[in-house]
Amino acid sequence: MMRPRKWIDPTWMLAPTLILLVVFFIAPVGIAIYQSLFSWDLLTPPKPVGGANYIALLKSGELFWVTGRTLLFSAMVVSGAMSLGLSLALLLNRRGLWFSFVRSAVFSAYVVSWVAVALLWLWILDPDRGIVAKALHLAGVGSVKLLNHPDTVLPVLAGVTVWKITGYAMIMFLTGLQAIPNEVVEAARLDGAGALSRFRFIIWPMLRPTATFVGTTSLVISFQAFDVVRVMTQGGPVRASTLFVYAIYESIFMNLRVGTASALTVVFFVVLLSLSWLQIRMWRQKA
Amino acid sequence: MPEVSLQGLVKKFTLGNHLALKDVSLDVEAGEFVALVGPSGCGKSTTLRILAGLEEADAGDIFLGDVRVNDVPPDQRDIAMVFQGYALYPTMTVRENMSFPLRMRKVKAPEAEERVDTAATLLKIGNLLDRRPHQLSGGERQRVAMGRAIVRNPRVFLFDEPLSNLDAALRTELRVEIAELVRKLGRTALYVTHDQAEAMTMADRIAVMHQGVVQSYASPRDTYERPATAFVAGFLGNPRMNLLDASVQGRMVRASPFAFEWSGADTVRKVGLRPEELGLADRGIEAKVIGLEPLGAETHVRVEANGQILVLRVRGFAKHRVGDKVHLSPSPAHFHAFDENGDRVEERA
Repeated sequence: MMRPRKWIDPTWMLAPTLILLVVFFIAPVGIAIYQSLFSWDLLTPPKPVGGANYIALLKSGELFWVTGRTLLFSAMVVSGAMSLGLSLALLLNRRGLWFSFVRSAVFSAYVVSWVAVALLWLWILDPDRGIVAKALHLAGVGSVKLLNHPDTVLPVLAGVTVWKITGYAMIMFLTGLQAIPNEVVEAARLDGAGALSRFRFIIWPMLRPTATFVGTTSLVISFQAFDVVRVMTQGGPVRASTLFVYAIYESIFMNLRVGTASALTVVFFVVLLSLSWLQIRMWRQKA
Repeated sequence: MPEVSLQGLVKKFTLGNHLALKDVSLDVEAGEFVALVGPSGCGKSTTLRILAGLEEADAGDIFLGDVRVNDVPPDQRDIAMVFQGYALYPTMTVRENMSFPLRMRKVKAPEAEERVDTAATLLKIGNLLDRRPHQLSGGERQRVAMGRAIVRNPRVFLFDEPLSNLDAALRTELRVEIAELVRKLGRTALYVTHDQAEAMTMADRIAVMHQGVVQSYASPRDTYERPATAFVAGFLGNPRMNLLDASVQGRMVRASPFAFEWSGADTVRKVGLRPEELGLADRGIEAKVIGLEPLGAETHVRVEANGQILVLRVRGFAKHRVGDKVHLSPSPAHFHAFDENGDRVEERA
């Protein structure tokens, strides 16, 4: 092994990355863990409370409801984005200008910022002037306030998220589909497999690693949903759309409970860490 | 009645409006093994794919027996195909791969198993049945692909360059096996290859294709000894036939450095001579050795005579060296004559 002449040389070279990592990642996590052991309202000096913040979260059921809600939201987003992305990939896996235009159009939603997407859908769903309201009105259905009802708000937010990330899922599935040799599909045709059998026995088994990857990444994306909630519902009505990251935001910037927020952050960190670990493990299996 | 009959096939490719097949007609008798050879892009694979039903012809008819199958989907044509890349299903075991066509045709499990076992024994892959394709060597994969074709017991086998991904030794071994197997099963086969050795050794008849046209369709021996066109003459044979520009003057054909008496038509524009028919002699036309390729059993000798470069083949190692003077004296009987379209011209008896 080659040894550096001066110990300072490699340190210099690593410094930019190292500084970024410490300032924006390691230090915040450390601070969050530390602060989760205090009760602090940003105004008076912090008081050490030990694990009281965690216990309070568990006792109040807050943690249970936020986690459950987020998991439900994730389930809708992951299943929606995957099935829609796969269907679009199967439909659009063709040559020609028209198909490449539609592919780009679908993918373009993924490139737009979350806030812009949220605002766009806020307008579309506006109960007075939105397109959806107009359409419902024309169809004879009275005004439906999709974002103002606890039963509909979460599916609607999930729908918006699916709308945005389906392009990503589609591109991933297209890559997977194009990696399947044409010969294999042709052999299946000659072997007597119709379109459905070809998908079930040949294409889907070969797409499974891709599906695993798309599934885990969109799970992580959906777990981190914040902008959509912040812009479209602010967690309401009656907290029905308070997802994990928004709950953290709410408790620190609205309720000024830094300790509770930090405790939530630590739990969230652990959850995401395990999700990422799962993802990396599946990725390795794929390789 | 031929088992397979292709009549006037035309295939356009949308890209650049290029004609892949101009007018391809081919009859294959039942039990016959036909090789389609030609350079890349000559249309041989396209012909096979149209017969399989994987592509549609823009014009022309495809008959299997007396049934026109242009509109019959590929799985109902009773044709099995072996692909160049083997096209095995990577997520299935060998057994599952081989039984897949039977499963799709709703053959009962015990019968399917029996047919897979029979085919596996025939191909000597009985010990591989529980492996997956990525655990097999190239030769083993090709056997499995063959097995998947055999279990269906199809009327016609199609092979699309099945050996071109394998190394030379394995190719030689497998080409013998494939030809024997197909004959043993008594089935009709069309075999696409760019390897002339495969075509010569395996086929009952060879169709040589060039630029979307069948240039010649005859037995390997006839194709070699009496090539129908100058292209066929140049394509088959290694080293290639010496092809020389020629002109007819009275009763003489002049093709520098040769001139010989000729009793045929005066339309001769090219003359060909196989390297093995261009013997070295003590007298005759003087030539200079400019290159030697010793291959062991034979040596390819490149000579220059009257500004013309010729290749000839001698047995064993040549005793000549580069720069040596030699003499050529080919027999006029060995010359092949072609007209300005490249078509063969026969001498009048």
